[in-house]
Amino acid sequence: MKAFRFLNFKMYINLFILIFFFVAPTSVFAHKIHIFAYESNGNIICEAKFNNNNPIKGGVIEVFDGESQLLTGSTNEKGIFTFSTPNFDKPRNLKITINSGDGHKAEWLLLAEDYLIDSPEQTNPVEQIDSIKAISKDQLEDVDKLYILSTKQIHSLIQGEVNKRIAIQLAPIKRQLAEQKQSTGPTTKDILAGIGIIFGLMGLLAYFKSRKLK
Amino acid sequence: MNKKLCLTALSLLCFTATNVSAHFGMVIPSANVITQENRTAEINLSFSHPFEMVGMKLEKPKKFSVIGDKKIDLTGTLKPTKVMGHNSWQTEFKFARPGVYQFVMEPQPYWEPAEDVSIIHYTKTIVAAYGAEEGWEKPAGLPAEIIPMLRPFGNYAGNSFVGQVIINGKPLAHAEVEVELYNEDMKFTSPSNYHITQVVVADANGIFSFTCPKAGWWGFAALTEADYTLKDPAGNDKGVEIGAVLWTYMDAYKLAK
Repeated sequence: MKAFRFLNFKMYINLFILIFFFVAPTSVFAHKIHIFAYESNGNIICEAKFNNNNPIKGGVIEVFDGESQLLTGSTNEKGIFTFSTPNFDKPRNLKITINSGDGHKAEWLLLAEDYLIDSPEQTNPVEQIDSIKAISKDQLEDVDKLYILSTKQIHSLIQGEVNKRIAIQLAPIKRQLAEQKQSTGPTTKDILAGIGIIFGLMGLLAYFKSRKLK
Repeated sequence: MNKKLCLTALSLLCFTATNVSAHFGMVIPSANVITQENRTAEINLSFSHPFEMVGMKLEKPKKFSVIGDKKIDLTGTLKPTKVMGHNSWQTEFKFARPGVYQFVMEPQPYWEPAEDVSIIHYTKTIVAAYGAEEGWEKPAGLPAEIIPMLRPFGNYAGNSFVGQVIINGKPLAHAEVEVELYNEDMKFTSPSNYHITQVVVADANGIFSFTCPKAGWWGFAALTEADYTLKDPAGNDKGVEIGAVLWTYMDAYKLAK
């Protein structure tokens, strides 16, 4: 205690604060967490992990649609929480948060376009037409509706095919155009180098000439 | 008059002489940390002198892939573009899920008449997405590569980059590593020609370290001669320079508001 007598009360406090600052942050930052969510077979799967890839077990999950809380739950042994894809009248993004219980939080914004599977780009129109045919055998009264739907799809199918064909046929022309843009002659660098050498030789010549004159 | 002429000639000769500097394969993404606000990165592939901002023509790479939890071939997605005024390649990549992604370019050999060799720079960069940070030290399985020993993202200017040079899976003792800053916007100029490329030699285990004093993209190129030859345009067997190139970004410290 004698050794510390030169420290007054204020100094003790400062020392304590200093030690606190050195020790405290390591426990906060060494356990960063993250969460990721995706759609699979009508379910939303949430994966919660520490930054070293270890799962967060029993972490509290909260799902928000806009401002209001949709549901909550907790992650299993593998850090996973699953819930069935919600149905909204219009596409909505889902904010999914995880709380690991030791003061760490993370969130994932699951965009509507990433979990709503019936976006036209992702489905194959041919498959859809086939499935409609199969239904139409049983439900003949809906033939009109089905007919309109499938024409639309045939349209998109034809358009897609036409675009593809055009792209294939244009490719060599595009390539030729691109190649024409490439200069095959000397580059600015080469020209500058050439000028440099000429000037250099002229300089040497001028130097020797001036020496001779003297 | 003669004096003036001599000076002009001399300065022009000096200017052309700076061309004898390091070549770097370049794989530069628009960001090396991907957040939910910015889920897609544009990636530019080129072959350049990054400090002097002098480009060369890059033929379409033999292979360009991304290695995350699996390896995806992106060669087919490459579109021609211009980097430093020369033919280069570009693609966009949407990061689907958290992970550490290694973007790897295996170029076609580049014939360099000035050095009388073909050059192959195996070039990679590492991007972290959505908070995951496992796997950045995993080899990409290239014939030549630099394995980072400093986590290659989330660094500040002033940090020391540490890496190990690996050739065919084994450390390359005393490897010579060339270092250049990607001098975007030509912000800096060099006090002498020596300053354009920094050089560091690895230890017996192929490990080297280099402190990056400025924010920006830093390129590390470990160079070695291949144990095989390739034909030059005239059909003669000529030596091959193999480069293991890694690009990593150092951020500036951000002031709190």
